[in-house]
Amino acid sequence: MKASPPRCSVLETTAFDFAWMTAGEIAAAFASGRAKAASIVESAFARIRARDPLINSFTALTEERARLRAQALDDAKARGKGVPPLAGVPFAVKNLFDITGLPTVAGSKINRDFPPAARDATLIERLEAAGAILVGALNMGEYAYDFTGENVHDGPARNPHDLARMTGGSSSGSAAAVAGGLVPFALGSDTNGSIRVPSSLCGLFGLKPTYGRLSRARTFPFSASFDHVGPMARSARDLAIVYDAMQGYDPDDPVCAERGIEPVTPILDRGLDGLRVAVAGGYFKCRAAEPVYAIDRIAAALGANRDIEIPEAERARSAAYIITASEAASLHLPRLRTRAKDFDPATRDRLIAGAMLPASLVTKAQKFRRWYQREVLKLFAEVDAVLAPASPCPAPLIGQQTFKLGDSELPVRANLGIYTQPISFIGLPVVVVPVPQSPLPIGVQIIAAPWREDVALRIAHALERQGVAAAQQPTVRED
Amino acid sequence: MSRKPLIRKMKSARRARPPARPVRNRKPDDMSALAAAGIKALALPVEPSWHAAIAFNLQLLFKHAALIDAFALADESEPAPVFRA
Repeated sequence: MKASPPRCSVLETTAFDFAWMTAGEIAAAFASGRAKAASIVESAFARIRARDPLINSFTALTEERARLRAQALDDAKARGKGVPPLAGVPFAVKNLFDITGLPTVAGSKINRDFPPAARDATLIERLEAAGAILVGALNMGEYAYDFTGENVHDGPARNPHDLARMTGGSSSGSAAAVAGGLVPFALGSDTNGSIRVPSSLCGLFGLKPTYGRLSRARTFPFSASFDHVGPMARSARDLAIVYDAMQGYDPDDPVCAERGIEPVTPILDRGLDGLRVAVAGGYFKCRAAEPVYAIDRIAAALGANRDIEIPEAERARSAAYIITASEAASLHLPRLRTRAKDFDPATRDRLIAGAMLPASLVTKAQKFRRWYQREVLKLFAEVDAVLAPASPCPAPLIGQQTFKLGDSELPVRANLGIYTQPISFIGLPVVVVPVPQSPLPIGVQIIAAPWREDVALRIAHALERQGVAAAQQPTVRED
Repeated sequence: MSRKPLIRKMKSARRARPPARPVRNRKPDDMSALAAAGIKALALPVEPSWHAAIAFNLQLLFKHAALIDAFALADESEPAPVFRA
């Protein structure tokens, strides 16, 4: 399907630049000598300067660092050194990742007073070791407590498919920068859906890996029980390449699992190969037209002709809600005492309320979490993957307070993650695939068993090859 | 498209016992009083104009907590995070 015709061509790209090339294609251009890293990086900064005033995705650029890095890659190649898998590929990170020399603002005003980070986050180090080039830090919802992409300090990131609409959050700038063609991939974080919701609203592929798979070292936390980090991109293959480059145990993150690297890129082309896929029923049976269309289309393409019930999913969402509130309140209590007025009021009032939750109820939520995990894992004896909506609606308008879901009118801020929270609650790996629709895309979650990112990525790649899932280039209306 | 439902019989936790008196949805006045007491106990510098939003959010949290409180779990249930020495 096609989006509405453009009335503003600023976000349109030419075939000549790197704007809509995948990370794999850019790396191949560098490896073959068709492009120098320096020219790739200058092209990225030119796009950012031209387009970011519209979509507001970047909060800081790392131009000097990127140019030095590009020069080093070009010099190494000229000397005949081996070319790493992401050589010359520009990327950016949500501004809760530590970047040497910058304060880690995490979408806040308060953290701007923090001293500059002394060392990069582990994932930045690993991506740069694989040849990627960091070009900047990205907008996000304050302290990641957000599903909308709105931020009172930096302004909202805008959805490249319609500048009047939300990106989703909290990895708002990550989604806008990738969907807007500024970088081929970006890193985000996902505690309750903050990679998956913006991937859905901006029409991107997004990976929330298994809890403990990728190191969170030197990222600003939100709710430690659920914090994940992962990539967003415009193709499933890019997700796999980037994910492979970031895998591996890291003693700097106490949650990071002591597992070896399990590369997915080499097995991505295996196809469905007998994988059993079901559709989540019950709680996940969305009544809105767009998610239903997307699920049906993906299910038909996969031959997924059975429904499966994820038990007690609504209760799981509630448990995730209160554990998040309690852990986030504990994290921010000192700042709430000293700098309450410097928070976004929408964040502050929820954090203060979270500080008053009885510990008895939070502990019971953690006990329920173990029960729920045991029950849900039984399902994976019968299926390899489960499909569920990634968001209950396409991108709402910026500032919109409520949306319709069936007969109910629900608050946007609290409910964009209703289908993602019960999944991250027990750390299952998920790939969101974008399903093009007019006028706005929407995503579907492919949920796999713990440590089986390969299953979700293979399915996403197969859907992309069939043309059912695709990150469409935006044609932006200026309303 | 039509899909066949997969019927699963759910088991609750082994030797589960029902909660004695589950938390019910509190009234706004209850939440306002709890918010006021909590703000004082935690020494939070809250302005009067913030109070209603905090009480609203507290009520929402208790609504979610009521679902958890009403779920029967065995006495031996362990919380998800387990500390290992």
